[in-house]
Amino acid sequence: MLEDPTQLWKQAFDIWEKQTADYWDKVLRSPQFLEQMGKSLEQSLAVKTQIDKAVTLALSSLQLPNKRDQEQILHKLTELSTQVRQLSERVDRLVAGQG
Amino acid sequence: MLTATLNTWAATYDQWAQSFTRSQERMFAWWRIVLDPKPPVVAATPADVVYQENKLRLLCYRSKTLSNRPVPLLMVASIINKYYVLDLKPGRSLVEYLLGRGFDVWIIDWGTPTDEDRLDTFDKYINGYLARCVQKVLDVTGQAQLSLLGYCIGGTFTAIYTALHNDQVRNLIQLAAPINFHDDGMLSAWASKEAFPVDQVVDVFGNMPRWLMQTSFQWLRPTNEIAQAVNLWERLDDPRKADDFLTLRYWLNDNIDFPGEAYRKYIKDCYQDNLLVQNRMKIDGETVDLSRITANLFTITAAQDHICPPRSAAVLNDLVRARTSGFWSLRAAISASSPAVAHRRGCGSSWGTGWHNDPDKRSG
Repeated sequence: MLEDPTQLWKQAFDIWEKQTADYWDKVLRSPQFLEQMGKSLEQSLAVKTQIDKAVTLALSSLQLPNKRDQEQILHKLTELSTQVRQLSERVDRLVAGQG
Repeated sequence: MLTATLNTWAATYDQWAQSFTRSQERMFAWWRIVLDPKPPVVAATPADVVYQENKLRLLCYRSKTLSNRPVPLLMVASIINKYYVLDLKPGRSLVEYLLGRGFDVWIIDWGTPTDEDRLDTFDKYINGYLARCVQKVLDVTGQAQLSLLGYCIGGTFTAIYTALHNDQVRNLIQLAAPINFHDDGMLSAWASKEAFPVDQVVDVFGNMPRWLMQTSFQWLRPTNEIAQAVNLWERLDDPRKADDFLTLRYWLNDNIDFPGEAYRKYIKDCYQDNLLVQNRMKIDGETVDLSRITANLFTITAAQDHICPPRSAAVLNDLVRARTSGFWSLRAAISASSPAVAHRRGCGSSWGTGWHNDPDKRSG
């Protein structure tokens, strides 16, 4: 009896998938690829760094806060909120202990 | 002879006709998914929010089953994925499974970090967020100790936390949790100092963007997307299987950013210098010595995990001084980003073995 064509196709696909994945595994681990990946990542990040610096410079010349300033303020507020909650809970526990 | 040939042809024709009908059904199902996509129902088990801090929520799931299980179980999800993989969908939920067996379950939902959370440090996650959640669980339950279940990076957190606060942890369950980062995994190679300028990445992006992490996970096995499409095709004639598959895919793509400063330390100390496994990592100035862990330990890994290879997680069992320890490697093709917790016969069944109740049980 002839085999089900979908099963044949699946077997062929599985073989192709494994061989292709194994090939890519070797390529993506190779020192050449890792070196190139590092370099291209550094170059792309260097471009973004320059753009960010230009935006920051423009904002500070207009006496406006930049993104990093806003992040720091928000972070401080979050930390303060946590500290207030912890103090409040401590006071509640002390009051409960006295009562 | 002729009859035999005709019978063979008839059988083959029947098989092809059935195959054609199945393909037709799958094609209709495919179009239904494409034309009328519905977001899956996830995290369906009711929970109370017991504690909140910044984006974090501590969720409590109360069991309705009468039980005698005083030690509370706190699950620590991965920081780069949503917590609901632990409660994926009805019938595919570790939380549901445990509630049915009388456990009260607590989960940390880390929330979705925004830009200002880039300043949250790795140490703050351990001695801040996680420590306060543990204390909250102990306060509410009135217990002196709890069980910690850490999944993926959450497992790295729980191992570190237990090493620092051993007296609070009775049982430690590690699920696909990397400990030794210099393994044979692809991520280990990609995160090396030569290939990955982590300082530049964090300085430029703030938080490690989810799209960059997602892209790198997809490149761990470039053929994976095509293989997933074929897997879906095979399940399309069974609505339940197709829904399971689509729900898990939904979770896999529902990533969150990794807070920048925490990411910097995680990559440098863990992936690049591999300090944790050498007992040289420091949290708030205190050395993390894994041999201080005396809690009962149960480690679960998956044989084909591309993100946390089994050896990376299994090493913990050799480093601790646990009262009892167990190790279980699943053979299924699952990974830290496609976890056992969502599988019907996944890690949930380890509770069925009663491991946590039997102090003398030791394996692996």
